[in-house]
Amino acid sequence: MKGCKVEVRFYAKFKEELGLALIQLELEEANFRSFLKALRERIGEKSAILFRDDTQLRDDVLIAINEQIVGDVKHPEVTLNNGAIIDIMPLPSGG
Amino acid sequence: MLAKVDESLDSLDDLISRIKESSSDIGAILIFIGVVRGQAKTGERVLHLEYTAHETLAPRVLEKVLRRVISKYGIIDAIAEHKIGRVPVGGDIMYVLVASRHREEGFAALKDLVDSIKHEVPIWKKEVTEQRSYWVEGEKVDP
Repeated sequence: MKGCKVEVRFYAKFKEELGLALIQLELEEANFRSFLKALRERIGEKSAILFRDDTQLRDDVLIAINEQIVGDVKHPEVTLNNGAIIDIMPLPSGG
Repeated sequence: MLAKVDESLDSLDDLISRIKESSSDIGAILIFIGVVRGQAKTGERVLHLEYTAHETLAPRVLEKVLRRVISKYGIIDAIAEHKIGRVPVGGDIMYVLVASRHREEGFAALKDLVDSIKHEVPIWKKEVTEQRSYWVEGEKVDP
């Protein structure tokens, strides 16, 4: 499968804890598994903020792809388009 | 219907007038006002809260929640506004208004709306107390 580039935006607690607002990642393959691999490599020693193990995000990480919140995001075969925008958010705590 | 996430809230009088205009069948208007409490769950004294939101997703999800609840309970109309930015102790955070024919479905819809807004709309709260500041953790809720 061909790779792609994605844009990743971080919000609230994750933005502060990772010290990142916006990054671009180049993926080997255009799917969610490849995105997680690239993200984990990019954030390095801070990966425990988002990841519960080598391949899975923590349950308190909410993801939107191209501004659509995806419920069970963690499916590795979800396809990503070139230029996809991926938002990484904490669970809502408004009100 | 009105869904708004903004640095300022409209006046309650204006919102009540607006929702009243939606139908002559309205028999009850129920209102929830979220207010900043002066004491955190930890017992610390709160100075203020800071709200931030996903600028495009938050109003869109809020509108989706309103549509779902209006349809589920068969109420006439609903309005929800949530403030972002700094809110002092005693300040208003959120207004939720429900207009229904009878109070029963209105109360049920109002509770569902407030709970859904807290758990689904991408808005986040930082509590600033006399000692520290910290992000309040959201709760995972099964759909």
